[in-house]
Amino acid sequence: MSYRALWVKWILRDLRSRWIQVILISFVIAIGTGTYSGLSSTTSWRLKSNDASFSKTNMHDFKVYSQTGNLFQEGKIREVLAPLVKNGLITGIEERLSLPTQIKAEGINGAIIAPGLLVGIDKSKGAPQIDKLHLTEGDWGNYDTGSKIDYAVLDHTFAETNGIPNSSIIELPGNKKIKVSGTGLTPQHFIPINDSGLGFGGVFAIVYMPLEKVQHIRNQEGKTSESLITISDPENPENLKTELKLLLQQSFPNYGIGIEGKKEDRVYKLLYEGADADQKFYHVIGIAILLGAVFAAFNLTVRVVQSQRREIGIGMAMGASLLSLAARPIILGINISILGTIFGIFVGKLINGAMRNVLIQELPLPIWLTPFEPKYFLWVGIGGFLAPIIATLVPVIFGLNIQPVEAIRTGHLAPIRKGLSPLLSRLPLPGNTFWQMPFRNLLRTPRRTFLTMLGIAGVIGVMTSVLGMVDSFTLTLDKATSESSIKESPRIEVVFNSFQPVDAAIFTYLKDKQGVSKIQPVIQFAGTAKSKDANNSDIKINLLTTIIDFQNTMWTPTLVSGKYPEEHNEILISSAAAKSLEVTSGDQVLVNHPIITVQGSPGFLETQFTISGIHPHPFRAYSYMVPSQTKKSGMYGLAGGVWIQTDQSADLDNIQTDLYSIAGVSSVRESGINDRAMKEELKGQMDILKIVQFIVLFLALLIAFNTASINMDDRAREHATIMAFGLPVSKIMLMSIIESATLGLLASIAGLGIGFLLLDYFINTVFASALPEIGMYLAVSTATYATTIILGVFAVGIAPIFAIRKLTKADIPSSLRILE
Amino acid sequence: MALIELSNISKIYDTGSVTVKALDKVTLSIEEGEFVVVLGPSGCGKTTMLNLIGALDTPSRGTVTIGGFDLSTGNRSSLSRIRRNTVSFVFQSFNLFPGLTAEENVQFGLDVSGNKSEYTAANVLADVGLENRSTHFPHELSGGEQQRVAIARALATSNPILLADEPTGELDFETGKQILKLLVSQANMNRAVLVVSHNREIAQIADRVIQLSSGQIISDGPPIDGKKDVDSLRW
Repeated sequence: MSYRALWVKWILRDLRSRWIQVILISFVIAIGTGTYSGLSSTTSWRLKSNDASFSKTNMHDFKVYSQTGNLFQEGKIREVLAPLVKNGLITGIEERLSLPTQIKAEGINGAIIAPGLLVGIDKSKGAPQIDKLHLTEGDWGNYDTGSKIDYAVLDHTFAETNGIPNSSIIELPGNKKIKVSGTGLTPQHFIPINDSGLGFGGVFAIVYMPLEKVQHIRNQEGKTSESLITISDPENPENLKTELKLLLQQSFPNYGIGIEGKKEDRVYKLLYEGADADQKFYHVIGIAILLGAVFAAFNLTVRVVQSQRREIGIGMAMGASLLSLAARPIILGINISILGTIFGIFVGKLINGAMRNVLIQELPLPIWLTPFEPKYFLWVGIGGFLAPIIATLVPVIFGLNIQPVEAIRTGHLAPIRKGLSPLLSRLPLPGNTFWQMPFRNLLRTPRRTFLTMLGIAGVIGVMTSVLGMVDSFTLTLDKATSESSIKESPRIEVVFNSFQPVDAAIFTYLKDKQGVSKIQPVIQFAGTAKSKDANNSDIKINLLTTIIDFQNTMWTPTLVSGKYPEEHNEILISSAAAKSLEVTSGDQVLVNHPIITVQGSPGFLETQFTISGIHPHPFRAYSYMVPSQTKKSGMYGLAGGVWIQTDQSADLDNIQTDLYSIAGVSSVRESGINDRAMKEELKGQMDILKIVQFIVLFLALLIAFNTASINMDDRAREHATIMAFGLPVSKIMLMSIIESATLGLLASIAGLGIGFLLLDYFINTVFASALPEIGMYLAVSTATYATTIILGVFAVGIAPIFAIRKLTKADIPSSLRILE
Repeated sequence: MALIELSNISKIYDTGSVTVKALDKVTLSIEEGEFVVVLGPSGCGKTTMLNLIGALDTPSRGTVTIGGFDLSTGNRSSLSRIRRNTVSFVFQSFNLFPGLTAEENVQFGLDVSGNKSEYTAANVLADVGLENRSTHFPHELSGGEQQRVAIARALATSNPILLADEPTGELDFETGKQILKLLVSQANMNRAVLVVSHNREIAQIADRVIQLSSGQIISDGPPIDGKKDVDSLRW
């Protein structure tokens, strides 16, 4: 046999004897690289899919609307903008009538009454040309049969979430029955959003009908609420926007003309900013898992190669070339690298598949482009490929840099240990030698213990942060629920089509209604707020302000600081709003709020308010003022809605249905509807977290098992000696479990620290930008602490059990004679 | 009945293509207080015999009886018990636990056998002359010191059979003599001491010398030139 053939044979033998370790370490790397690339791909998918979806539906470049809620005469805006159409600056105009509504439908779980938007679409050209409706099922309905039935296309998400079948009948206020002819999506409502700025997937309904049908149903013949415009130069819209504003303000002086560019659209922003936030979130999660995995793989590979230290020494003593000596361990490393890369692609594809399902479920865009993204795999793949090779090189270089005699030496002649080892080895420990041994093993190799612990801690840290996010979501939801609810019975919030005098007959009617115990007229309006402090004045947030009597006995918000508003220029804001605006009780804010002028026309006014106090509801937009404020805003003596508290024995559904049929009522909803929406919003995040949770748990187990398996190999002689002294396998296993569990405990404690830092980043940085309207509370529950510690200790602790075969099948005499 | 009885034992290693007969129909018995040296060239079956007596291995044929217990009838648990309470090992390469100090290694012997005597690990260590090295870790000890710790660990069990596999194999002459004195003293304390060696000099201090060749006993009896004192040894 030639010299080269001998080495090849030897290398093959190495691989054969270590194939399980090679495969398992490859898997550790694969999970790291695969998870990173799998998670990171979603950002690219989202951006590509957003672009394709907005392009396919020809999203508007501008939306013209009235900030005061005035309706336009159909064709009037088109007429005003005709010169711009003529000179080619505007390429298309379509008018719509979008009005708040309420729908009643039969879903898979029974009757649903939900708030929503009734959208009348211009179908004069057969179908809308701007903000096209992407039909996911059915069609616009057949109006040619002479049937008196009206048809509507229902928002895809709402229909899907609630299981509302095509061809079912839905009901709009005023007992208006409509047949669902299809389901679909338009770009403004890819994510259905209500006034609070939250995506309301399953609890906010968008109903699309032909424009004239909506005008007829809502008695707004010839009226529109907005115009959608496309322009010839969408890349440079600013000049045209200024021109449009001037032109329209001249023609509609009391309308408070609003012109919203495509990039200002809330859904558009949410989708792109969401992708950006995803990138931060997945990047950190992916990096943390990747680092944990690569670090663990590095550590494990080093340990595997270190076991060849003496053989390298013998080879050196016999004059073998350095290259041939290095070849065996390096080829082992290359094998791990190659397998890790191949497995990584599979793991990446697997995670891609899981993420694809979650994304398509949570964000139903018309087009989803979800290709495998090699660019995200490339860099981490290179890192994952190099790690085991470097890991093999380190001990090899050290091995080759010492005198052969040192490498060969064993037992009492082996190199003296340095560093912390001598110090830690002398730590006095209680108990007999059996129970000391696991701890002694950890202490005598502090660097190895620390590195192994760090690898597992990184993974546990990710798990802690993931569990902490679930805790934080839960706490946020709990805060919202406890803040919104009334202990005795639910509160029903009724919204009118228009302001009503507080002495109107409807209030007397509602007060006397059977099952109603109390009523509270309210005014609710949308506005914005910014800090008066010049340094923060560029931060502007949405407000949803409710004017209530704080002396009412039905419900008042709770206070986390300050006091309730008493004067007309005081406002109670949420802690999330205070955080965003960087203000606190007693500070000033500038609020842009609606007014009704003495002439009776609506408008907006910027007023300075003092923050009287702060409430804990997580919705940033929620704010409260006192009724005396309405004297300043021209709304004194009016109410836009009413809160109703029912008797405990009352049938809530019946009352809601009754209220729903009253003329002038625009919507009827339970007070917790926004909390349910928030739950829906967070559900998507939780689904993704579950995937991450599964990955990290699996990775922690894999690292722990690998560590235990290598420990078993390293300790073969020690275990054989113990067995030679008559200790049973069960006791040795127990000692190994104690050692592993101690490592797991240390890793869990370190992991909790890492996890808390990650969680803080996710909640206060990533989610703060991804879900700005929700003030997330950061929480790590006792259950999470306990779960992390128990899982860390348990998962890592039980790992040696998987290697028990090595003990039971150990050849004691042979192991005793192992010299290394 | 003798403390150790081997009756017609054979040990065959079958590696697939090759069958190796390590021991072939060996029969012998060893009494309490006997100092027995097993001699023979490499591969003659010395260590295999030691492993069988120590319940580390099982014979292919024949029976091994230790303290009246037939090892062939034992299960994993009962074999562990024999190793725990009847035999003690001293290995050629010491096999000390690197994470435990000298005294703790000896303490391990006490702990494992459940020896409740008032004789402490420190006492045993003093017996082998290492009382001033008790807090040292194995890597801080010389080869001879390590072997003495290994013997102390075996002695700490107070088990009636002491098996030593080439106990002086890795040691210099003077250190080797110290170790042999220790072993002889154990036989004088009524322990059966079985030493495996290829060093013919050592055989001179034995009560009985068993010579093995190709797995068979070729001679069994006192040293040809009579039993000598350890101090008279030269190699």
